[in-house]
Amino acid sequence: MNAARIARRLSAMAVAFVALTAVPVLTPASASTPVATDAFLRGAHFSPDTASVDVYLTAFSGGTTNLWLSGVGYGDVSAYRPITSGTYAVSMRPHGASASNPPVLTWTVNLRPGSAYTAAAVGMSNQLRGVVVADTLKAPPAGSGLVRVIQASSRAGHVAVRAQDGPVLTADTAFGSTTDYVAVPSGRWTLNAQSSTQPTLAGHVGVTVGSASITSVVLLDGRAGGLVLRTVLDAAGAGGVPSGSVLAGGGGTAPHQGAAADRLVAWAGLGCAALVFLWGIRSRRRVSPSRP
Amino acid sequence: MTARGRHRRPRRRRSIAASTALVLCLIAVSGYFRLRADRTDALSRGAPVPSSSTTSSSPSTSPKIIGVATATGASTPRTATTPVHLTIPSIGVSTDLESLKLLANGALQTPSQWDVAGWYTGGVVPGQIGPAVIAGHVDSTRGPAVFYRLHALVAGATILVAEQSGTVLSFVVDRVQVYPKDHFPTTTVYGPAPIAELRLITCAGEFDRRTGNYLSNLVVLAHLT
Repeated sequence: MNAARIARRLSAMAVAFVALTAVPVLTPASASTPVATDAFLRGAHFSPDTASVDVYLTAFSGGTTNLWLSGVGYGDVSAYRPITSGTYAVSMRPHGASASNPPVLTWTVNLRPGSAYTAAAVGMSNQLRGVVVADTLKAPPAGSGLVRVIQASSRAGHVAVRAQDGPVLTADTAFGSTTDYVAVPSGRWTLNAQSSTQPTLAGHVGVTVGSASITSVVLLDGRAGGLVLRTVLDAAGAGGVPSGSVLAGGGGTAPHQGAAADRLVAWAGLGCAALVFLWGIRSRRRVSPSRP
Repeated sequence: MTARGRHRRPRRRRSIAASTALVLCLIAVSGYFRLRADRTDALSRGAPVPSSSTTSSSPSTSPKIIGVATATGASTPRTATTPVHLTIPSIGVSTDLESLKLLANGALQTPSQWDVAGWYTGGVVPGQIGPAVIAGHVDSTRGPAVFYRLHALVAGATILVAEQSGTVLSFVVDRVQVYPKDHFPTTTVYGPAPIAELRLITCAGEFDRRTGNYLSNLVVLAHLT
């Protein structure tokens, strides 16, 4: 065995050692989890005299247009879809119309990470416009929920909404607008709406406001006349929020004096390698004198 | 020639034995550290991850296909039924669920058994809008417990929750994060969510032998598919 061969063999072993020990260092990183969806979007139809529509969505980064919601009628509010934040074009076509037809309405939504939005068509069909409403995901004050009003009744015009024996949700909101959120103590409530444009026009709805819940009340033209109130649960949190962290382990698999054990094994490994190295050198020396 | 050959053979044998010993030794040492890494890599998890590190495990990041959702009218929440069983195929978890409440000090109760996870009844029912919370132990005082492998979950993995009614709900993992217990993300875990979500919670990080507690929590965030 000559020196070059020993060196080759030792260097091969060194490479193997590095490869074997490097693997566990690299593995954890490969399990990291990138965020695919970080925002929420839903669609809504708040135009009393506009027929059902199909809603399409186009990502600005990418450009492909896809059918998102099919057959959305007046008063419909879709469920939220998790979506990647960014800028999108929302377009509406009459229900069943080909995607190659020009849309009746197109508008842009800019979705920020960690936020929820409602993209809605509002107004009468001759003044149809697309709006983007930012929906809150903030936790309501303890023991209460947040409630707001979306005024989509053309008949009612200006409306006041209040919880019976409770807080005023809005003193005056106009057709096509959305109010701010109002904290309402959790519990069962009757919400009364009164039009100021049409004093004979009024409506009510029962709603359970959960602790940590967020609710929208949508005012709609009733199919058979009148004013209809519909409630939509926008978001909900855990009612009773536990304090602090969770104690969920007994420690039975925790490294026992981990650092010391690691050092011991590492030194044992090094010692082992050194011994074998010296052994290799010795046998090489013994060979040398007999070589020509 | 013959004399040299006679001398060489045992030497060669010896060097082969030495090499074998060295390789075995290296394998043993690296194996030890690999096991240790598996146990403690939960520690290094969490915190915004280097985005370059994965492409394979992530579900498509393309925002283009959102799927077709039928618009619904007023909110018509499904009837809430109690979750009774949790299955996570990718890490071999299958456990019944016990009920968890708040302790007198306001903290979340943890399961009475090491090998059974628990659902927080004061929160949201899985499948309903909002964050449903399931907690389980990472280990007992002697060895692994029900959520020992939770840190190995990756984005896109499936979590199944069976309800008492027999319905099985399917959730998909969004991310897995480790938080120091003194910075527990209460809002992220329990705060309002606009869709049906699920949180799995266990312990992670360093174990403090004086208090008998781990110093971090590992939280899996998932949503209903």
